[in-house]
Amino acid sequence: MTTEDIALIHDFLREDLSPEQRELVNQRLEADTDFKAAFLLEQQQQQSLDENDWNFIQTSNFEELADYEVLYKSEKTNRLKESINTAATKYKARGTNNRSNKWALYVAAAMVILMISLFSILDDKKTPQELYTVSLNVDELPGLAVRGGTMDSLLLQAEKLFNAKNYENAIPLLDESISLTDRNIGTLYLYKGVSHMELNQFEKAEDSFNVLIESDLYDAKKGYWYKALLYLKMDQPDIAKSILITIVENDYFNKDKALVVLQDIE
Amino acid sequence: MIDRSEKIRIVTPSKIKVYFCLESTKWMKNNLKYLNALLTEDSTEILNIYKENFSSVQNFVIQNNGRTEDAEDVFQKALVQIAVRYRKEKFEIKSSFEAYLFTACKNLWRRELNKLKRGVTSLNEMEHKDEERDQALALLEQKRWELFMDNVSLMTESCQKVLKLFFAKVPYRKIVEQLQYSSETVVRQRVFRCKQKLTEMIKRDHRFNYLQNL
Repeated sequence: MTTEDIALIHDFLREDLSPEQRELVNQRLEADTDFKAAFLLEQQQQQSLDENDWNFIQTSNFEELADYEVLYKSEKTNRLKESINTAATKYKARGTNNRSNKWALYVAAAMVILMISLFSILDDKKTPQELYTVSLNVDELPGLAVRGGTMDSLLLQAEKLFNAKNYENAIPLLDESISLTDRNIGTLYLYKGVSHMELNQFEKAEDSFNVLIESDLYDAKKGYWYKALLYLKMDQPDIAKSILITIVENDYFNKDKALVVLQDIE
Repeated sequence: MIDRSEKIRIVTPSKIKVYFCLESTKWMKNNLKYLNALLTEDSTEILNIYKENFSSVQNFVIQNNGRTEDAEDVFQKALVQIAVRYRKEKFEIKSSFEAYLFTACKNLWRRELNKLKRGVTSLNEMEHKDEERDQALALLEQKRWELFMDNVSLMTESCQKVLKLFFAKVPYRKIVEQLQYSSETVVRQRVFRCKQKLTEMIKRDHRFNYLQNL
């Protein structure tokens, strides 16, 4: 294949040719087997590595395909599917107050902006924003209300607003709670920090996490994890990386996840 | 912009590699634990896989035009795909199980979105009968994707950057702006060289021979 042939294939796949030029390429594909072979390989790469596309297999008669089909139809795979269904059912039925169910309902209104690409796939590399999205798991946050506590109604309301992603209205209640109590205050700062973070109020988010980190509260070290996520959201992976290293070195909260994120940043 | 430069620590890549070395044994143990759970149909351990991983997949699918039901579907399909593939070829998961599972789910969802885009109808009776074949095809497509991705990851950072934009069909003039090349001609030459190298590497890959005929 000449350089011009490859350039022509690239332009065809990138839809940079006129209808007449495309027709000429189609005609050549019919007549020139070498050109077609080169075209197919370029097309496979383009469709695989374009995050908005997918490369579907065209061949139907292929020994390995038949082998996999047999495995998919096997009794062992059917049993596996049943076990997965059992696990899935238990997972979904973890409780009506389970925050993850509420989170799933409201995540469609997620504040994370899908950046340069929806699927950052080169080298399995995710953008900092994607890393933020997949790493932030509010299930890890404890509930706010303590049964029998005097501030239950205030805390419940704050938690409800937080779960509904109504951060602007949750924050004043969280601030009020912080001013009124010493109990559960570490968790309150986490809720506050995450709320500010989701609203892209980065300085206020960092302030909340820093208060927690610098305290002697039981949850203090959790602040590092969320601060690392904050810097991912701010698209500053180098700073996030340094915080994640601190987590790993000191065996802080979410050390294992910090390692995974570090690998993705690398 | 918040200036936190005074708080940046100097982190050497070697430090990170040490941690990976120490933790890779743990990853291998976890990978084997989860693979074993799938191979032995251990619903208790599979529930742990759900607890650790489902929410991030769910977030991703919902943020990409999907619903919770779609996330449940791709999650289950990904678990079955991993198990079926391992039963046939005992392939190595080179990252953590969590990272691999997330990527498998991401690709399965990407595949579904493109099926819809290309006008493939949603499940009807005929498709349902061929579901195993469809999943077998998805598995082979995943393997081919890995062939391409593994070779892209071996390229220089500058090639990866320009190819990322190239495959995203970003106009050449915008690639000039984003990567600060001097002209479109220079970009085209750079793309050509990087693409040529990528294609050569793919053809030399031992997996190319049997995947090229798909």
